[in-house]
Amino acid sequence: MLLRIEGLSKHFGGIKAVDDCSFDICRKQIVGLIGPNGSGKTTLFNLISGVYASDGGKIYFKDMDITHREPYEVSTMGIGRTFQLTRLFPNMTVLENLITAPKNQGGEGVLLGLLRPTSVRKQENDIKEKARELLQVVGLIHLENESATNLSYGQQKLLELSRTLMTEPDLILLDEPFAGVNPVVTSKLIEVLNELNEERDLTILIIEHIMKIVMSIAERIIVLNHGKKIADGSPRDIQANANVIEAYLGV
Amino acid sequence: MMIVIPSYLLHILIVICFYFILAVSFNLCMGYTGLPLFSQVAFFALGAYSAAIAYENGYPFLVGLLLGALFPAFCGFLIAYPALRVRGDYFAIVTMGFAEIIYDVIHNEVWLTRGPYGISVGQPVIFGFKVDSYPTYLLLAIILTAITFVTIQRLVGSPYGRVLKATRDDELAASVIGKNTWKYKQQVIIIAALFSGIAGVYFAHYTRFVNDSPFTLAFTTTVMASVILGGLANNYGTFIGVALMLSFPEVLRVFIVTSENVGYIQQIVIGAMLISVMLIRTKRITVRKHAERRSMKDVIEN
Amino acid sequence: MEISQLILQLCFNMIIAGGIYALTATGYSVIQATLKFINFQHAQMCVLGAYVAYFVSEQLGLGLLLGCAVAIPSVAFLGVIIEKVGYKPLRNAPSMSPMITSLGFSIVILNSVTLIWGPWVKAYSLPSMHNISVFGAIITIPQLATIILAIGALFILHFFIKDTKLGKAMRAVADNRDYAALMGIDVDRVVSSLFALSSGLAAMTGILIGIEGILTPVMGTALLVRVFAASIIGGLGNISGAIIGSFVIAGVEVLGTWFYSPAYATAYAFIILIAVMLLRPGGFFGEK
Repeated sequence: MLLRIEGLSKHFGGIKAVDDCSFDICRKQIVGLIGPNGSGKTTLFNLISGVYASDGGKIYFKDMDITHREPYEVSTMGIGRTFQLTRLFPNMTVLENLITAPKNQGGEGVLLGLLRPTSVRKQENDIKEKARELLQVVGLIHLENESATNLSYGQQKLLELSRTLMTEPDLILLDEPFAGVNPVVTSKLIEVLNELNEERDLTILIIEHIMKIVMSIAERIIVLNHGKKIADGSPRDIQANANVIEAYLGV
Repeated sequence: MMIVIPSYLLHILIVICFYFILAVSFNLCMGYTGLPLFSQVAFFALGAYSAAIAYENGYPFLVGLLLGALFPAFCGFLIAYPALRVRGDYFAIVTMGFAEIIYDVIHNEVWLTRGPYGISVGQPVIFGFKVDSYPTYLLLAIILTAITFVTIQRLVGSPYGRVLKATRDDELAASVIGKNTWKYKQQVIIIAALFSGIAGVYFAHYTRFVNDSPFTLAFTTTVMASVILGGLANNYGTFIGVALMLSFPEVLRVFIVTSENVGYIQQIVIGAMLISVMLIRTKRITVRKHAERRSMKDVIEN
Repeated sequence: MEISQLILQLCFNMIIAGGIYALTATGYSVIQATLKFINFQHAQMCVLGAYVAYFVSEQLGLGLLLGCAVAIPSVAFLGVIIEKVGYKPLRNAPSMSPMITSLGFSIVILNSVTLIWGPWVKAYSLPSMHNISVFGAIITIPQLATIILAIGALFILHFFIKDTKLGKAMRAVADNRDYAALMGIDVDRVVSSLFALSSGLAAMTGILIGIEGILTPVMGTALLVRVFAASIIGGLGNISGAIIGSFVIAGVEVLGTWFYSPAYATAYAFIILIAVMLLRPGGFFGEK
């Protein structure tokens, strides 16, 4: 049991964005999170990653209660996330965006940053090497010194995903990573994700509207509607589920 | 022997030095971390008064220096708690409030600070070495400036600086990759307060007199203007900004403007510059955004 | 002085100060609500209004009434120009940018006024009037006029925002600017009108302050602090809240001045502001 959500709720004024939601995710699972617009998917991500404070319920990660933790704490514990609209650091290059991400960088402390002893310099070099390897894998290595804002939309999504991966998360929350991305980049992304899932036991929870993609990569799908969980099962089960069909058709 | 350099020129260099310390500290907060530190003048004042009061009570220069660095730093540590609870521009207001409160205290608690009457301060003596002439003052100023500049420049060029920039550019993104942005913001406030306090100590011993009059909002806007002029997050540019800002009144004086009016005109020019720089920067960003939108065409083309 | 007299006097002082702050805070809140940035220059429009009126009434000798008639519209007009030149291009920039711009404008206005009229205290020449005594509490005619004008103006404003087309348009723009534009509202016109309105109000407030007391170039800066504190206490962009906040600030100030020291008047407002920020900050990511 890597992630457990129990009775999680969040309301904004009178609207229940997430309503008594509960589910478990096990290590190495690839789980899709779908539902009509406004069903609470991104809100759920914000709750898990600590961006929003919940109005009830609990979140457990690696058997620890992370319900009221700050975003940086949640990240340190091993959850990474991407955003629907990419949030890159606009005044940094592609490489810099990546090397900012890893945790436990000695040079990020005042004293070590000032002194920059050999250990810090070595760590910098190791991180840069790792970042370049990752850029190689996703096919962005030729752009390493480009400003992050000069990248195309699809490249930016790849970069954001790469940056998240640099934090070596155990669980990654992907918010519509394929929206607006061309087929070449899409298949590259899927390839990378599958590889990480296989080789590094990366657990993936992915919000996606493109049914074809979700149904093909996810082994399990959770469906939300109006903040409530209305279905949870294999892609085949979900496609046949009457509630799900109604949710999407009967607006 | 030595070439005779007019002491007036030395004076200008000295003023540039400690203004530069202030500007670089301000830049650390505003340019690199996105925090407009309007309380800097308070830290400067606290440093100056620490030195003055230490001197009054017979303590040597170095004690005053230590006090003038640590006490403002501690205040910076404290003010971070309320100030960082709010968004960037409101941070400006809260820190401005702190500066105002400190000013009022200085102005009114005459038993401690002699308010407008001020405290006289002697010349520094460091391990028997007397600082009592323009060249020696300049030397001390250069040493303090070098320490400040090297420290801050090294810091912003290191991974630490990366986290600051990430915090400035997208704090949410920085926190979801595990950076404790609050801690970093508090730290830069403390560092800026420390160096501003040191500048204050130097100021007290150089002008030999400390009263409440310099520690106003106009002081902060002048420092801020030099930083913005030189380009935020660019300490070399900041130096040029400071030099420009300080030489400007001298240029005005050439045109026989009366000395009080020089101050007002300088401020008017600073105000106009702030407005212009904001307009130019925004125009540049708008141009870049149009370029970004063009790259969205990839989505449609593919 | 008896206790009841004292309380009455303190109350009067609170209402007068509160009325002045509320007038300025309302104009400030209107801008804050629609454009959502901290506006330093607003308070300086008070100073400008007071001094232009001074120019017409004292230096040209044309009387205060004409002074008002000239000052208020001209400051309102200047407000519109400042908006077009300095703020409109920054409409979509992060809120710190127009804040710095407003700082620039406030510096320019403040120093220009000081340059032209000098830093020394000035006053309008008003006919000497008797003070009115209400149950032992003293109130001057200018103060009475201030209260009446302030409350009257606030009432008018309240109905303006609620019932007129411009008021409704303003609320739409404040709520969601892009949506309002899609609905056919001319955002530029609305913003210009609001700037004209708030600048004009500010000018009027400046004149009232001048009538009630004296004119100095720094009168705006002192007002600024209270206005910020009032609008933050009342909830950002919340106009009735700003009015309530103004009276709260006035109350604390009057009490603090009476019971502790007048020298810290500005500090009281900031202390409240910082306390409010500590307890109920604006929020950052939106929820935490």
